[in-house]
Amino acid sequence: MREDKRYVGILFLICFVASLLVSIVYALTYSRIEEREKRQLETSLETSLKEMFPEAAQIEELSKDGFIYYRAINNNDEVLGYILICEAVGYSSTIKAIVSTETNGKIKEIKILEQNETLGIGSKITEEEFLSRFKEKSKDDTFDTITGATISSKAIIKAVKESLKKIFP
Amino acid sequence: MEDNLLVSFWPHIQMKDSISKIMWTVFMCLVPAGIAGVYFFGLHSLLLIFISIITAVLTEGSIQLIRKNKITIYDGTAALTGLLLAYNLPPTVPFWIPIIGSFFAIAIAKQAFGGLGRNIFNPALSARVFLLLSWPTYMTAFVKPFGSADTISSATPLSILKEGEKTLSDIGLTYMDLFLGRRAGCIGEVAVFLLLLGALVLLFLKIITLHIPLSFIFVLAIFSWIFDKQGLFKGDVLFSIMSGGVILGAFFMATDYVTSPLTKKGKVVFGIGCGLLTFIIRRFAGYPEGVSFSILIMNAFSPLIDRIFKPPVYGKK
Amino acid sequence: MVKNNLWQEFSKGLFKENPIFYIVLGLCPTLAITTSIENALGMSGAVIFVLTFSNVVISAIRKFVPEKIRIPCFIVIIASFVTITELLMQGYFPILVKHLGIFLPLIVVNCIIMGRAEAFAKNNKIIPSLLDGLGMGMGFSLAIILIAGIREFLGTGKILGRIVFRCFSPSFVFVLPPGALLTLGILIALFTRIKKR
Repeated sequence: MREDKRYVGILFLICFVASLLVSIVYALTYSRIEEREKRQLETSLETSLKEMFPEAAQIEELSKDGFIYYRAINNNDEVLGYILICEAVGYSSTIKAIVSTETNGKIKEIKILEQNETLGIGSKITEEEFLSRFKEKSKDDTFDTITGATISSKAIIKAVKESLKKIFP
Repeated sequence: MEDNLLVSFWPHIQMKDSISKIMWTVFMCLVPAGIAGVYFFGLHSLLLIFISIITAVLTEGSIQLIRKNKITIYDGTAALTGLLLAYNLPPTVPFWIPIIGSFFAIAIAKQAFGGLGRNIFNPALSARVFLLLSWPTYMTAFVKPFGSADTISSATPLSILKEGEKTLSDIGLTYMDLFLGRRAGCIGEVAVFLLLLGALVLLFLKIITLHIPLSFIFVLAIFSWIFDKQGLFKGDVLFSIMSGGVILGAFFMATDYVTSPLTKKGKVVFGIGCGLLTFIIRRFAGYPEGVSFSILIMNAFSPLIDRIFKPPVYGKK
Repeated sequence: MVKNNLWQEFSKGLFKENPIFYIVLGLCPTLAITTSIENALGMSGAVIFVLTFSNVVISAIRKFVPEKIRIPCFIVIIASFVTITELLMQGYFPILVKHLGIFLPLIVVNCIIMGRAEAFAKNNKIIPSLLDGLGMGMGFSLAIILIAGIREFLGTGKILGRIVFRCFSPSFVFVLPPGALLTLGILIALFTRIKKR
């Protein structure tokens, strides 16, 4: 019985010291991590939105049935096109892509924002050779997948089509 | 005395040179289908076959030399592996593909496991899957038969049907084309007619039995018929059997002595597994054809299947 | 004499008792993250850090921790160091955290770390434990960097993300899971052969 109490005490002590140590490191890095993540998110989204429509005077956030998308407007209040963010579950990661469209729903440009697919295979979805297949196409067209990277390319194609359907039904 | 040419459970009767005789018979039974493949796809495929066989034999010989084992390159097992690998290649691959493939088949899939009789997986199929995963662009570039030197690439009937909802006639093919082999595909898998002829000879000589091929093909056909893309009971049975590598796989590769179960019941289970897995891969997976994968997966199960259907020791209950 | 012994404690992990090729421990991260040298380097840093510190701390409290509850104690210590590593990496190398993914927190259950705690640190003094941890960590690092180098080169034709040769077409299988098993298997065979001589 006394033995047991000693064990509890020792274990408690070790856990206490360990958690103290972890909390100190957490407190030291917390603000840095938070700030970095926030900045990264903001800059990446903002710059990608701007890159999609460099001539736009303003990009406004809209939402339709909970789906958030963006509209690019020039100085004369004319709509230049739309920007959508698509997410797809690929082979080994969640792929995040940003798509800009003309007002009629045709794809203008697509960029992969985030992916962690297999190096050399699934990662081919970031190459221009694949991304250029999306140009000028709309939600009802067929897209060619990448040989050997069918899962990754199919996932992104499906996600793009579904997002397009939400805005251009 | 019906099964006296089959490897089976104990007790055994030893026969001299039987391995070599069986291997060369299988080899010869495969040759007509290869000739048809060369006729359809041109001389390049003939060179591929030769390179594949020579590399396989040389690899086997040199490894046995290095390991100071008995050199058994004349018994035909290495040559057969090389031949089967070449039959599983698209007709336009560059020459280094069969070299790497044959080397992998013999060195890694066979000798690394201890040589003849000790390999878990069919060497030719392991090499094919290795090549397919390594160089998918080369390994899925098929051409139509009778093309010119720089042939226009064409998908196999299976992958065309997987992508869209077309029927066989939409691609411009008939059952007769499939039967004779006038379609895009691997060198040795297209000539269904000649493969069946070779298989008949093997069956007649009792080198193979019908257990594996029949259960394999039957299960694949039934499932393809019932669970078709276009609805229940709408599948094209003949197409599902004659396309891809089913005939080559079921008769010549799934029946490999070393990597398939020994008992009759075990063989039937093995065949059913192959058929079911082939159907699942064709219908749901990313690849249009699943014969190689399913045979390899079932290879891994062979020892387990054998353990389940092990005959009782004589005198014991 | 003493100096010699200490050097031995350090150097044994590099080759003679290499954790991956000879002890064959810690294979999960080895197989999973060795798709590029960059990932391997990140993982190496994390493992060396955790292994060294956990070895030192466990060795320091070895007389204080009763035999019966040593496992939970060791796990708490190792987990704390892993969490600290993760926090530091998130703060300073966020890209690496993304690449290593789940395998960074999973260092906690990396067999090498628990293995060294059990086999060495709990029976030895602080300095030898420190050197043992460093040596084993370095041995692990060398092994995974070698595997990652082979896989990255054969699988993508690149080394550290730069194209080295254009004259051969890379064999994709080496950056896929089967390539990891193939490479590891062949290397283990090779090293066993070298050691036997």
